[in-house]
Amino acid sequence: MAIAADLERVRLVRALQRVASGEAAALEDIYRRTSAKLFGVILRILGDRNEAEDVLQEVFVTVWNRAGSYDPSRGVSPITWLAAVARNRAIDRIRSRSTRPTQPLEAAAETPDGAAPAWAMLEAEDDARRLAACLEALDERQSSAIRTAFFDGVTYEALAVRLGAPLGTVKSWIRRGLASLRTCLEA
Amino acid sequence: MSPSLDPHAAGDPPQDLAAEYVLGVLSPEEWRDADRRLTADADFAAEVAAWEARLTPLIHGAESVAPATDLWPRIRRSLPANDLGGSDGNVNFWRSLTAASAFIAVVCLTLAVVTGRPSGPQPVARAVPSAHSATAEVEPLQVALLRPTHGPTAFVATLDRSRKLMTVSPGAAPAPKGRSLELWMIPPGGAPQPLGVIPSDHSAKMPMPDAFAGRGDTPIVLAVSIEPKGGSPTGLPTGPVVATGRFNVV
Repeated sequence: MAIAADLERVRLVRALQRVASGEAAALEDIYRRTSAKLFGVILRILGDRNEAEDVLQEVFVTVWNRAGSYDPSRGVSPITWLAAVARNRAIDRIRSRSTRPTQPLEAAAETPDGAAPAWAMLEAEDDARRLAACLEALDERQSSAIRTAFFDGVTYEALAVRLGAPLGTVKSWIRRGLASLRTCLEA
Repeated sequence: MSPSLDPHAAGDPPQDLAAEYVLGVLSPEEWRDADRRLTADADFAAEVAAWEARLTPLIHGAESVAPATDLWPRIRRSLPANDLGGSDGNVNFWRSLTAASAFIAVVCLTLAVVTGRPSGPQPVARAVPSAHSATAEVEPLQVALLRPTHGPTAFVATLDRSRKLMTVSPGAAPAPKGRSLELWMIPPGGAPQPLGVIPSDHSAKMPMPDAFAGRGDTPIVLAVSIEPKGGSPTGLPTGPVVATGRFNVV
């Protein structure tokens, strides 16, 4: 599995380099390999397919224009870089609309705490395994709050409502959890 | 710069704004402030990048969902400096026109109000899709997706400030026979100003309008209307507006 993940990483890095030199075919290759994952992430945050497709389009136009700014020597995997762009665009979109038209209830129901299904971890990369282990080590309410915030792209206020806990408590869970996570990941 | 302490959170670690920005828990205002700070504060940007590297691997636990099969062709056609206008383009133009037509009446109405009262800011604001513009960094490339109120992106405009160039590429763009597509910019509270007729089957490059020279948020709306061949005879849009959008920093 690790070899498969490494191979995939190398393929994506090469494809990003080819995109940086203007090869549209390389962008298509990246799209084929990553669009379903990125679309899943965006759709979960936005809850609306049309809007999510617009954002995915923005993401790939961004990748087309900015592939050259991806630097593999910084140790960030290409899929992480792509997903960070995708989440950022999705959160930007949701923060700029005043009200959220629909809650992605079906998506939320499948994995109520955003927990990773075991099969997904099989192909995860090392950094994902380390992160999962560090999240496991947290207080369960902290890790669950962090996962929900990450996957649903919700504000502290919305998270407090969703978890049925006071705002201050939720902030405390998240802040303590993030600080512990950082310590664990840097250990 | 100094971490703001939440009164409820005495004894908690100080706020880590970069972590909260990446996680996405900040309010819209705080999020936008942090987003702006990225371009001005290199240390903060480095913190954000570090948190992206820490947290983003969570996506391995996210469910994959296939987007619509026609999304890739749409994206490919919308890439700036891409001349693949292609033979399947026209099919999509008309498919898009069908989807757009239901909303044209609404946009049209809005525009009628705009042109009737050039100083009224509200109708313009309502014609804006939800995309918002973030702050500029050093010579950023900006992208605007122009689309009907609901429906796929019809045009992609990019702004290259360093070369003072604007490119408009048709995505799924309607191109009725014997008519022209005309591009407009609508400043907040102002009347539409013509930017010229644009092709429906390939990208058009034009000098960047001076109005876009300023840094930061760009509240100016771009709109495309269907006009008599050669463009509007009046200097204001006369036909239906088929797409609107605003620039976003990418």
